[in-house]
This record gives sequence, C-alpha cells and structure tokens, in this order.
Amino acid sequence: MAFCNVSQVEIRGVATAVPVARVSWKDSESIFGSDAKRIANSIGVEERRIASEGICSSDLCYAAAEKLITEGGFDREEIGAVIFLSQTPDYTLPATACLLQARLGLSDNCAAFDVNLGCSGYVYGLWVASSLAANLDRPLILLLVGDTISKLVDVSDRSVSLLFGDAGSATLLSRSSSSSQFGFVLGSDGTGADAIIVPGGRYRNQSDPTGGLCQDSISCSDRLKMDGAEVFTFTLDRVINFIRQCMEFSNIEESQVDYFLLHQANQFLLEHLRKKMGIQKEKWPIGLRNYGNTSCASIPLLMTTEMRQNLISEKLQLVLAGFGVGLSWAAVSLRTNGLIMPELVEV
Amino acid sequence: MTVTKEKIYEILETAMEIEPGSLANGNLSNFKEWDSMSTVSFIALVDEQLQLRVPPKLLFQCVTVDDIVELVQNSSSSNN
Repeated sequence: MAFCNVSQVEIRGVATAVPVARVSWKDSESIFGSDAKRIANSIGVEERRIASEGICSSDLCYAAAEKLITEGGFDREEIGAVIFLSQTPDYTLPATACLLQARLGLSDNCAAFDVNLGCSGYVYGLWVASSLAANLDRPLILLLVGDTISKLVDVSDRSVSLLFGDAGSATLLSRSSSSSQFGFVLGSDGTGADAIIVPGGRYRNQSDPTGGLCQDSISCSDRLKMDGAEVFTFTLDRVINFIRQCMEFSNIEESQVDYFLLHQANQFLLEHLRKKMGIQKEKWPIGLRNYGNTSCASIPLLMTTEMRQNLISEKLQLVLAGFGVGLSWAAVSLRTNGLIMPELVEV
Repeated sequence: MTVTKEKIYEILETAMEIEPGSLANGNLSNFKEWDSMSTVSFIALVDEQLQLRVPPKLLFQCVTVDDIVELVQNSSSSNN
C-alpha cells in the first residue's frame, strides 16, 4: 500500500453534469423479463442517465467545469493545470485534457494531461491534483473526472446492462494557508485485471475485423466484461482494510468521520460493506437510485446530489474511497470547509 | 468447527430465493435460480453469517449442490 500526505491544499468546489436522457430498468424488461426488476432491486438502480451518440465524457466534464468556474467566480488565468481522468476519452490521441484546455479558454501556460482509471479514479485524481497544487506556480488545479461507460455496454449483458450510467465532474483545488491535510492510501492488483475489462479496441487485441467499431453486440470484444463475483470478492478482501488503514494513517477514529463517501458500485455491495464495518446508515450515503454506477464520477456525483447542502454549509471530516477496475483502490481522509457546489447540470 | 450441511443448504436457499427446506442435492445446472446474482448473494451471505471467504473461481467449478457444501467447509476465514 502506498501512503501519502499532502499538506496545505483544499478542495474549493465541485460540480457535476449528467446527460438529459433517462433510462429505466423497465426499459430492459423486453430483454431480461422479470429478472430486470430483480436485478434493479439488488443493485439499487431505478434509472440511469445515458449519453446520446454525440455526447462524450469530455462534454459532461466541460459543462460541469463551466458551471463551477462561472458560479464560483474563479479566474481562468489562475488555473495552472487541467487533468482529465477517464476511460472514455474523445480520441486515442491527442489527450482530451489538451482539447478541454482550449475549449475552457484556459491559458496556454496551463499543463494538461489525461489519466486512465475507473472506479478508483476520483481519489487518484485528487492525489495527483493536490500534489500539483502544493507545488505549482499558479494556485488552482482543475480536475475533470468522468465516463460514458454506456458506450461500452452490451445491452444484453445482464451483469452490466442495468448498472452503469454516465456522468462528468469538475473539481477545483488550490493551495491553502490552513493546516489542512489530505491523507492518501493507494494500491493496485493487476492480477485481477480480467475481472473488469474491455479486451478489444486498442493495441493488445487488434484482430477485431471491425477495427474496434462494434457491429455485433454479442461477439464484439470492445464491450465491457465484468465478473461480478470476482469484483465482489475483491471488494470484500480490500475495501474495509484500506479504509481502516486510511483512518489510521490520518490518526482519526471512525467516530470523527462525518461521512464515508464510497464509489457507488452497487447498493447490495455498499450495504454489505457498511454492515461489516458497523457504520451507521446516516454516515454512508448511497446515491445510485437515479444515476446508477457512474464509474470514476460516482463520488463527485454523490457529493453534488446527496451531500450538496452539507458540503456548502458545514465543515466536514470525510473519508473518500474508490475501488474497482485495474484492479485498483484508493482512499483519502480530508476536511472540507464550505465548498462551492453548483446544482447538477444536464447536458 | 465445521459448518453443517444443513446451514449451507439454508444459505443457498436464501441466495437462490427458493422455499426453505426445498433444496436437495443435484446438478446445479438444473437450478435456474443458480445464476450470477444468486452466486454473488451466496458469497455475501457466507461472508456475513459464517465469516468465510468462498473463492468465485472454485465456486464456478462446482457441479453439484454438495460440491458447494464441500467448498464452503474447506474455505478460509474472511475476517479482515
């Protein structure tokens, strides 16, 4: 496990955006019959937001960033780096962060780069962004985290079809004169890479005659494959341990934590983990019902949909934890001090 | 202490959402209720009630109900 403290940085604001189009589990009854309801009840997802063909992850992140910068009155010239964290970039190259730097009207003195991670990604993104914020010559770092996993989903695959939704987020971090500290715990285990994978569409498996453009949703290798039982066991083995290690590293007790904000994998799993850790429901928000599992964007989406008023008006001690594809995991202990949190944007 | 066959049957019935006491040994392929969801549910219930970790790869290799009983009886602790 990697441990890292980053001092004198803070989150200034968080905004999120989702596609306007809603899809319910009822829309899948024609494929799964009565099992559609059974699956939806277990994973806790009533409906999801699905990006239309012309909407990319970058579009959702762009909309969230515009809202955050405008509503928060931030100076674009003060943004020294933009990081785009996603598994669904616009192109194989160039980096989507470069496109977003231009689109958002940021200075050409702004560093821009992409990071490829999924469910653990928001915490990894905070780690990279806060480390930069502590050292860069300009005070603001813009972290854009989002995915349109629906574009990778085979609608006839019951392990993923009713679970994933699309969302994008924008988080602004800055140096802080306070003694605030982010305490990170990070890890990965690539031996479990096959548990969540899109095997085709890139360079390891280039034999796909469609060139990665899926024509047949059943056989095409550029669709998301998930082994639910393996992923579930991985989370049982890892998540509780690394959350406890994170608290220990930051010298905080569970009673001092106001909220645990976990990657919104699925309700069944989150409830199982909560009971196993013995944590009260009130401290463990779940926000899957209207959005599904939104991959790397699930934690900021949870913050803006379930926690917005608390994060605007209260000073909170939080533990954030992401886990999944990679396999990869990360947790951070941090304090918030009244965030700028615009209302959810629909694109 | 070895977990009883009866207890493992009870957990399987809960995971498969079938009548308590209705499960008998047989080929798992005969149970339409034994699917990806009930598998995950079974792993969770074994973890919760028996504090044992069932490896998914071995679970998927089980052919009969009693293969699962044997697997659970030989599983290691899931206490973190």
